[in-house]
Amino acid sequence: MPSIEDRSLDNLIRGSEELIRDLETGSPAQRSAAALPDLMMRELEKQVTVPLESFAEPSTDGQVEISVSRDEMLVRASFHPPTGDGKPLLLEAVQDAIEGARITAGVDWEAVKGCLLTCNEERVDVREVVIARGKKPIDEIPPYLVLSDRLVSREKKEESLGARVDFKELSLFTLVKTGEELAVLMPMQDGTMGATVRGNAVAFSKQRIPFPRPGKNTVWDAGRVIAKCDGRFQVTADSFWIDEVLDILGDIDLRVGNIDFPGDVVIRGEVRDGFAVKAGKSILCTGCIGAARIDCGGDLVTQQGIVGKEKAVIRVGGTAEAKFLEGCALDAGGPVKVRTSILNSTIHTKDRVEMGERGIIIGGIVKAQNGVSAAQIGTERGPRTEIHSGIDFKVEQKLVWIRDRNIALAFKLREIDSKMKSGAKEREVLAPLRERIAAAIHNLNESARSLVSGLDRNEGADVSIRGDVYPGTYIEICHVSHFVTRPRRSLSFRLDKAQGKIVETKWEKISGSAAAGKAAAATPAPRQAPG
Amino acid sequence: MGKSILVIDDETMILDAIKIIFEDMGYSVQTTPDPVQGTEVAIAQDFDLILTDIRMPARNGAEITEAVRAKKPNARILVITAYPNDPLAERAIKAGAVGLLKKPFEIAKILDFLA
Repeated sequence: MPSIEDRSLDNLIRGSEELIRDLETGSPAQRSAAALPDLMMRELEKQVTVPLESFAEPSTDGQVEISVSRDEMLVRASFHPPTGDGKPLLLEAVQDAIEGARITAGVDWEAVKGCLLTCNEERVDVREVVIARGKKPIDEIPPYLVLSDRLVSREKKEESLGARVDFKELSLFTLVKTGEELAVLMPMQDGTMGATVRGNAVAFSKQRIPFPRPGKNTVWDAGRVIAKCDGRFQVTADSFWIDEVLDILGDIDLRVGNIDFPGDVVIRGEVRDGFAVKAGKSILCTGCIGAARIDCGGDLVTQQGIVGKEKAVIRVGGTAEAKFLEGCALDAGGPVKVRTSILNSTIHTKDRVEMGERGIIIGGIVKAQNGVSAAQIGTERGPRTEIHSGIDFKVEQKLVWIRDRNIALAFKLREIDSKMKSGAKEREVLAPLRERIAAAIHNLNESARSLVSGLDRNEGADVSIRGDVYPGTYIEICHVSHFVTRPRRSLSFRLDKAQGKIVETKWEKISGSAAAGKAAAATPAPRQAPG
Repeated sequence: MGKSILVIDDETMILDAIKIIFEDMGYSVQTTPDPVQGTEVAIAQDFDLILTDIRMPARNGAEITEAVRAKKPNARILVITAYPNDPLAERAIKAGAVGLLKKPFEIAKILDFLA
């Protein structure tokens, strides 16, 4: 009986011979895969025997699909190449498809031919190609006015300057001469009908170009608008006009006398001490203003400055611009922009006091609702300089007026009370008067309460100093007091409402109340001003 | 009665005026022309606001502020002064006065600090 080892050996020999035989008698494919197991070989054999034809794509001819937009102004086509033994897409077939879609106009045949070539030669889909466009109508443009370059370029220049003040400019005035061209009439542009790709007409519409209409002191002159008089050019989105300007070619002195004019006033000289100029609109003064009284509803621009000698009283409805202010009392509805210095003056503004790059404030009182920007406040000698911000000075002035009248009435009331104690007759006579005075005080108090509750506070107002601020400077923001007790440099004072204190933050080159808020937000931990 | 105010000022006319005006507004107003007595009252009683003149004989507003705040650290004191840059006013603010009133007084500030 053969041993286990012998059987094993037999099996090995037999198996090996079978393998060799298979290799010798099998197909080339089988031979090349000699090492593969039987089962796998059988699977491979099946695959090899699948006819190649079974994978071949079906034959289709080239095709084109066409789509027309809803408004019939655009036609798109997708070009599909032939497959298998299919026929290529021919131009005639595309023409038929275009005709079939009732497209009669606007076909770009060059585009169509290009697509056909790509599609047939490269055998690729060319999809969603615009092959035809309708003709768009051209709008009718009614006549419109274009402002003269000189006037328009001036507007652009102001925009580009942004918040910066160019003190060399007569920045708030654009003066024109009689007969000067202000605007030119552009002729009407006729409209043209359009057509869809299917030949349907498309109506044109009217495109109105907005433009300001000629207003006061302008006149039509052969297709253009000219100035009817010398004056100040004014323009809004709706209208442009000329404000008559009182142009004084020299100083305001004894020869000229005081001025009271409803429009703009241009003074090509100085305003001498003791004279008064009142303008319903703005004032431009090329020289200095002395100890004079100035009252203008618009802006005040003095290319020099004001030497007020503690007597000048200046009231400005809008912006006040000057090189310097000295010894004057100035109230402005708009910002006060001063290039070099404010010395011993009382300045009130409902906006902001903005000093030039090296602008200093020394002495006096500045009340600016939206804050103050300066290069320096005070000096080493420590003159008293008060800066108040965050409060509407006009409301404050009304409250002072109320207080003064109230005090006077209160004194009278005390006097009457004292008199009424002396006898019955006095009591009888004075009682009605006492009641009236008490009622008057009450009414004034009601007004005061109402004013205080409506006081337009700006708690974001700041006092920003690029350079130095010296002891002797008193800063008050929204009634919260702060003394500068040692020299400080490059910082902003702001109100910390929660603490009820003035705090200091690092100075940043920004201005305005909104900017102040931004700066406060950007500064993580303001510390209390050490004084 | 509304909030209470103590006014210390050696000018009795101003005291009378403030009393009449602010009592009409509904506040309880106590006045004294004597700064020493005023200090004692300010310490002894509670007020929503204390107004004190800065320059008075016997005791100035800065001293009153220091004395009152030493006893009552939360006392709200407004100092009445002709000039905000008066060194005494500065001293009063350092001692804890909440603000300055320009003479004779400022209605808006008083109402603000009473609000």
